Amino acid sequence: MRDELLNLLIQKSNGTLDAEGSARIEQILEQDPALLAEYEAWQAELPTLKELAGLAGATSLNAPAMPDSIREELLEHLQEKFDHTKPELAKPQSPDAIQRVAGLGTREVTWRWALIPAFGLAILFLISLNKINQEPIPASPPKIAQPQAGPPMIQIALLDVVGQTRGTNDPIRVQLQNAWPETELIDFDQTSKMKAWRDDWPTSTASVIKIIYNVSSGELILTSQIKGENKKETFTLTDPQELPVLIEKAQATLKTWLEEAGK
Amino acid sequence: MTLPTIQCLRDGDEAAWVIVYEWLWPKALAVATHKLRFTASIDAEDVTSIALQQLVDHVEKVSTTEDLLPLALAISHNQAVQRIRYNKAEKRDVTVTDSLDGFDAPDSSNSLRELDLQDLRAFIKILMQDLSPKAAGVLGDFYLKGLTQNEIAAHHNLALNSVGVNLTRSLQRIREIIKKNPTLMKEIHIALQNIE
Repeated sequence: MRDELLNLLIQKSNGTLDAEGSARIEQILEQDPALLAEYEAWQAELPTLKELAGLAGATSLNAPAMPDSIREELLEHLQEKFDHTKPELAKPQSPDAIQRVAGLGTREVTWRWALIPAFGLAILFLISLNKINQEPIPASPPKIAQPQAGPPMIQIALLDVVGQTRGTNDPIRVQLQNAWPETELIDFDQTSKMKAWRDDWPTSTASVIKIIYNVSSGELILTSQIKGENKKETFTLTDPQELPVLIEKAQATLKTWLEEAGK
Repeated sequence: MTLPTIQCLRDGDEAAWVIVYEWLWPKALAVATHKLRFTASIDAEDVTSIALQQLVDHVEKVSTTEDLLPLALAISHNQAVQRIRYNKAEKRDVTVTDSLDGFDAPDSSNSLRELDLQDLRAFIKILMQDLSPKAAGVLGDFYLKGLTQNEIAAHHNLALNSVGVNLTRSLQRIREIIKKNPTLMKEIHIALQNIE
């Protein structure tokens, strides 16, 4: 009867118990009032246990498959982390591919050198294809002006893929704007648009600094082209309270870059 | 599925990472979706993607590729909790978020936050070792997919009674394990009080 009561309680806590089950709980507790204390203890602990049961249950799931857009996003992040140039393999699901990767750690890697020229040619080919077949971006991102050589131009962007729901008093906006008061903050709600803007550098030798805050990942990215040299630094936020500290770090890095460029 | 070696991942092998991402995605997504079930405005896929991105930073800290699973789930869970906290703070229109849950201690020291993540990871690892794949499957169907016990019985080809027995035993076992870690239990309890 104890196990039956517990099972009924589990169903009740998950919202899958019918009226008959509810009545049965009452009946059991009337028949054996000694079970009431245990029932109440379980009732108090079940919300926590449910959370943990969910974590345990998650380990068994194999669906749904990862969307292509997420795979691309993860690969791009990986390339940035490991400083790669181009994704080599977008979706290696064949047994051969899995086998190859599983054994890769123990293999000699010298043969890879032979692939470098071929890989370079492949990249050139892909770039040329991309130039020819490039899809139009739905709404063109704000273009940066082509500045003349002189003091660096600073630009700030806020990427929020959840949507541009922030008002002008949003704390993130205020903090970014206060840090760089003479620069207009550009809003993006799509990663693709932000990237197009981020990668759009002037063809002249003018210095441009771009500061991007990604709300979702909590990353403050500093990227620059100063006197023809490209630099990048990423500061990761682990708590929203740390944003002012991150901004200070970014400002210090920026100052160092400019000092180095001035030498 | 044959998983790549941890060294391949540490070397940044993209093909190896794609296999691991494909393996972890449905599991980490389920955790985020479950955690965000009361918060429609946060996209669980977005949270999961960020959790998997963060996983790259931890690859040096695990000894096998399989160890990435409990870690990915713990990060996904914490990432979802963090987003809920952030959302709540934004709705209250405050500039500073309060510490609403035990996963983010008031002193906000990185070491403590890391410890909590590692605690949760270790706990999930114990659950994985302790519960059979069938038991985990039943828990997943019941708590994550929201199936009834009748539906689970049909799905796993089990007698209806044994679904109930399976669930009660698994929960009893989780209860026993968590009793050995009262701090984690308290943290989860506080988190729930503030999220739901």
